[in-house]
Formats: sequence, structure tokens, C-alpha cells
Amino acid sequence: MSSMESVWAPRSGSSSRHAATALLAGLAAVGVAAGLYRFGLGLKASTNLDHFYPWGLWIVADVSFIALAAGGFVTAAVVHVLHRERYHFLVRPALLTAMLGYTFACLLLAADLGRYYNIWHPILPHMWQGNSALFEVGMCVMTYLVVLYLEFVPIFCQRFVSDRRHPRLSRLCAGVDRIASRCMSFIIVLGVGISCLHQSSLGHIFVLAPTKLHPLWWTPILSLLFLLSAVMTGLPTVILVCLLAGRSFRKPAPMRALGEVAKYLPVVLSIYLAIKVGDLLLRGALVHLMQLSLPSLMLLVELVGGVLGPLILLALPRVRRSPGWLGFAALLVMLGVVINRANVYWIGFQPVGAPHRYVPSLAEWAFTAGMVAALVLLWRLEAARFSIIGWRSDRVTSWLPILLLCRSSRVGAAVAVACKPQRRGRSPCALSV
Amino acid sequence: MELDRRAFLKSVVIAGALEPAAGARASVGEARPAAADAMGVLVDVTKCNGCRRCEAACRAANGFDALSEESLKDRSVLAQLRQPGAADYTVVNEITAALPAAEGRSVYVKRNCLHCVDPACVSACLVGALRKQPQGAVTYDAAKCMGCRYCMVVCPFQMPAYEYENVLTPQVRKCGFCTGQAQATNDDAPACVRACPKECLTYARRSELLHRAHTRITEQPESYVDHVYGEHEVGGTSWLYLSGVPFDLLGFPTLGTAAPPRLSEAVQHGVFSHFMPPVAWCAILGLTMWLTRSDRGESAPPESPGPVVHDDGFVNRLPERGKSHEFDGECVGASERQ
Ligand code: SF4
Ligand code: SF4
Repeated sequence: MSSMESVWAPRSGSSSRHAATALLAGLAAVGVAAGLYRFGLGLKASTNLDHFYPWGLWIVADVSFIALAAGGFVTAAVVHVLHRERYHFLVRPALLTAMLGYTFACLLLAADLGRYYNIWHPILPHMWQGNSALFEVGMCVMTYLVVLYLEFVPIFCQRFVSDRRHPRLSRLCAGVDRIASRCMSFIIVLGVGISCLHQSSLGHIFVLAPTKLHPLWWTPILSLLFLLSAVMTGLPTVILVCLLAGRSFRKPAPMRALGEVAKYLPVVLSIYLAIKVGDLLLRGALVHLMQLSLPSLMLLVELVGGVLGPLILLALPRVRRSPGWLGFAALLVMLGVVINRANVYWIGFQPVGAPHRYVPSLAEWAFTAGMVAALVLLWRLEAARFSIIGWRSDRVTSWLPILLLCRSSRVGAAVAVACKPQRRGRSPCALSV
Repeated sequence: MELDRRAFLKSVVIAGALEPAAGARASVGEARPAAADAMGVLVDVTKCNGCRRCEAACRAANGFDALSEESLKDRSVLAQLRQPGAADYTVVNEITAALPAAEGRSVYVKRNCLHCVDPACVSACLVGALRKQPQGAVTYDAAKCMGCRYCMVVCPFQMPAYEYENVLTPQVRKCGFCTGQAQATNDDAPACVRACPKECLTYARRSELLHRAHTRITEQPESYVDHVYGEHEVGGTSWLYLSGVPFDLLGFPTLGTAAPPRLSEAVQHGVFSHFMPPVAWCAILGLTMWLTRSDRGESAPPESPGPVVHDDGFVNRLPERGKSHEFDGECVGASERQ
């Protein structure tokens, strides 16, 4: 493996990748500008939020980031709790995704809070308000953020542990690494546990607004649906991340293992679909689907495009074998969940007497897009710095380049490099993130 | 091996012990104030003539821009349907168009926070900035607020307003039932009630107000619809309304009798009851992890420096100086097992 990957743009000559990097960097810069605008001039100037719509695009993006970051706890559960070590190569990409996802969710949240400097208030015991679903979310997200960074500690340390030029640093890192690995099982269990709690609480938030959320979405079991949909989008996100990273680093992700993982997805998707449709039937809310309106349309998009479609696709072995199709199906699941979050937090939110609907402002779009771009860039930066991508590629048979961000003009070279005999490490994957 | 197992069990126990921190006090339901003892206001919509003296008094009491006599005389403002805002806790709206033609005249409706008996906003606020006081008021403490606006999302009446234009210290603004002004004026009725010249507003115990309201309905069935708005809506409100026309025509939302916090808190406290479910969940996870563990791959990390092969099969080597980090980690174990 002698590909000299530079951090930002690998290899000279792959101009499309330079273009993608430049585009992302540009978006991120615009996002930072929008963020400065918000903190400098306030919410009124930067957003279209009003009396009737206190939550907008940033909150939608927030909960979407958190849902998509669920891959972190799902893979931790699969690999470390259920010990499916075959899929260990998923853990680090998932962890990095979750870590950045939660970090950026917190950034977006800070931008949305009117008094962002009080963001830590839920920690103070005299302000605890255990009746609030949001309190539960706040506490769990804060704890989980710490958990994610702790899970990253070994990865961070391993980078410096063999640094012979800085023996002190090396020794320090080795020590920290050892301590971290001791606590790792506790950290992992805690992480999985509180993830389940706050993913569901994000839905439970709206149980308190039965008169304001459209009946297509309001249900007492909103928390269960949110938890299930987070679980259901966790693995697809990791799969897509691995596929894209494999492409970007010219180290194609192992399709056999990814296909195996994807085999479970139709099961999870159908459980979610069954519960969602059953809930609509039981509450008699299906009548609202019959009226042609924005909410009913959005529900159809969410369920058909984001759940049923990928369910059928992923049930086909051909789809699971092809990186392009698998990536496409995974993307559909992700989009489905993002649309679901948008539906609950935005489209389905219908306050009485609102003179007009809420539409996000330019700055809201810019900040959101910028944060997504920054997330992708940071992901690549860290993946190049630390040992994140640890798979050994198997032979790639077909690659349909559908909807993929990073395009490479040298697939052949990448495959050749990837299929070269590998150096052997001696120990198998054990309990360590 | 033994050590690992012990470390593992320990971790499960600690996970169980720490978990409650995530939702602490969630199982302690806050006592709902006794509705009968609390104070309230009865608004008899039929008596209001839209003079807006209550608006003026409210502004004066809360230190907002005063309403001059001239602006009070200008009745054009009544025509637009207004919502209480960040600089006016109460507004009077004139309802004409929505009424049946037979009605022949306008109805004036004073709107403000209804100080729900079991308020959704209080249940929502994650830092307890909003509180239900024993005497009925729902009050706000800006020092605690983080500006998440969840309270605005859940209020069934869209009453809390937000100072979006305030860059650094925006507040949630809503009627506070003139709490804290009782001593100053020797009369604990809210400023608006004292200002009303038409006796449209009555301040008394909620139970007594309900009694009076129903008496009025029985005595003059021709003047009132048989409905005291706020008696049962969302579990009851401290502000009660009497009207001659159905309330939905006046823009009052048609709401059920259940207080939203009852359902949501029941679910939440079910999930967190005495922290048993989360702890049990973590314990199950931990137990699964321990029972299904494989004893392979628990080799001690190598002590010697040099290319380090880690537990998980990542091979780390020294990146050369001046070059960006090279890709040299690979998880052999992952593919080897297939
Ligand atoms: S009317 Fe709205 S703001 Fe007022 S107490 Fe009820 S829920 Fe809270
Ligand atoms: S905006 Fe303030 S008062 Fe309202 S729920 Fe959030 S913290 Fe509580």
C-alpha cells in the first residue's frame, strides 16, 4: 500500500476529486459565514422562524444528524455486544461518522438555541426537569458525545503509540490506550444503552403536542418509531460511508461482508413498516392519507421511497452484490429517515392560526449545507490521519456509479492496489473499537 | 481472562449505576397544583366592547411601550387577528367575519396565556424555567432558559412568544398572571382585570368562577352557549371563557379534555420507572456481551516499540516525516474469518 494519499486531495490528476473537495470546502466556508451571521445578528435576521414555527430547518437537520449517526451504536451492538467480529471493519467508520454527526448536531443546536451559552444548564441538578423528553435527550446526547470521544481515544492513541521520535508521547499514549481498553466494555454498553434512550426520546418530544402534530405522525408510540427508524438507518449509513470511503481512498469496501450486513436490513425495514402502517390503521389515521395534501404526499414519499423501495431492493441478492446499487438503496433508507424527521418536525407540525407556512431562509439552508459539507471533509481528513479504514478489499465485480459524490478516474488502479497481497497482522479483531 | 471477566461485570454494575444520571428525577412526577384552590379569571366575552384598556394596563404593568389614549381610540387595529407577542402579553381581537349573519355585531376576545391547570409548556421545559405556581400562575425564569423554544412548540394555544430580534439575551415572553405585583398594589388581581371598565373580567378562585359561569349560563341561556371554555380543555385552564357564540367561531382551538402532559409523562415515567428499565436494558446488553464473547483475540498488546499490531488487527507504523499520513492500517482479522 504505497498510495500517497494526501489529506485533502489524493494524487494529482484526479480533477473530479479536486472539484468535489473544492465544492465541499466552498460550501463549508459559506456555512461558516452563515453561522457568523446568525451569532452576530441574531435569529430574527438569519432565520424565518416565527411565533407559530419556533423550530425549523436547523432542528430538522439536528435530529437527522443524530438519526444518521445511529450507525455508531448499531455497529457497536452488532460487533461488540453480539460479537459478530466479521464486521469489525464497520466499527471505526461508524464511530467516526457518529462522532462527527453528534458534534455537528450540537453545533447546529447551539446555533438554534436563543441562549446557546446556557446549553449546559440541564446538567445543573437544581434545574433538572425529569418530566421533559428534551431533558432526557439533552442529558443523553451530552453523555453519548463523551462516550463517542472516549471510544475514539484508542484510535487516537494508536497513532502515536509507535512514535519512536517522541518516546514520552508514545509512552503516554500507550498508557492511556491501556486504560481506555480496560474501560471499553463499560463505555460500549453505556453508549448502546443511552443511544436507545435518546433516539426514542427524540420522537417522544412530540407526544406532548398531540393537537399540533398531524395525525399521520402523532402517535403515543412515536418514541418506538423513532428508535426503530434510527436502528434501521444506522447500518445503511455505515454501508454508504464505507462505499464512499473505499472509493475516495481507492480501497474498495469488501462487498461480500457489506452484502451480508445488508441482508438483515429488509427484516428491520419491514418491522418498521409493519408497525408504522399498523399504527396508522389502529388510530384510523389512514383517512388523512386519502386526502391529497402536502402531509399525505410526504408520508407516501417517506414510506414508499424511503422504506418500501429499499426494502424490495435490498431483498434482491443482485442489489446487495453491486456497490452502486447497494449504495443507492442505502441512500434511499437514509433519505427516508431524513424525510421522516422533516415530516415530524416541520411538514406535519401544524399550529392553529398560523398565517403562513414556515419555509427556511437562505441562511438556514446555507448553514445546514455548510455543516454537512464540513462534516464530510472532516471525515475524510480524520480517516486519512487515523486508522479508520481497516478492511481488506475483495474483488469488485461491478460498480454502477449511481449518485456517488466522489468519482475516481482510476478504478482499475484502485482495484489492482486493493487486491495486492496484504501484510498479515497476527491477532484477530478483539474487543477494541 | 479472569481479569477481563471481572472488569466486565464491574462495567455492567457501573453502567447500571450511572445510567440514572441520564434521566435523573424522571420518575419523580411533579405534583399537579390543586385546581380548586388556584386563582383564575373568568372572561365574559359578551360584555367586552373592545376598549383595549386591559392591553394598556398590561403594557404599563410589564414595562412595555405604553398605549396612548389616541391609539386606544384607533379601533382599526382590532380588525387584524393578533396574537400576544413579545411586547404585548395580551391582545383584544375583533371577530366579525366568522360569525353568522344573524349575530349582526362583533365579538371581542381578549387573548393571553390561559395558565393551564396542567400546562404542557411546564412539562416541556427541560430546565424548569417555566413553573406552575400553587396560586395558578405559570411563570418564567429567564435566567434558567436556554431558548430551545420547546415550550412554544407544545403550547396548544400558541401563547409563548419569542424575542427573535434580541441577539444575545432573547426571552420567552408570555403573560405571567402579574405575579409579584400583589404586594405593590395591595390587590392581587392582575392589572388587566383591574383595568376593565365593563366587568368583563372576574378574578377569583377557579372553582368559584366555574360555579358563577354555570349560574350565568343557567340564568341567561339565551345569551350564552352552554360551554365554559377552559373548564375541561387540555385538563382545564385558569382562565375561563363564556361566550354567546360557539368558541370555534372565535378562533378558539377545539381541544380534548386530556392534559397532554399526562400521556407523555406516563410514557416517559414508564420507560424510566425507578430507572429499572434502562438499567435492566444495560444489564441485558452487558450480559449478552459477556455470554457471547469469544476467548480468541484477547492477546496482550505487544510491549516493544516498532510497528504495533493492535488487538483489532490494525497495524500502525511510523509515518515518514514530511509526508502526510500514509494508509497503513488494515484489519486482517476481519476478512480472514470469512
Ligand atoms: S396557555 Fe400555553 S403558555 Fe399558557 S400555561 Fe398553557 S401551555 Fe403554557
Ligand atoms: S425556551 Fe426556555 S422556557 Fe421554553 S422550554 Fe426552552 S428553556 Fe424552557
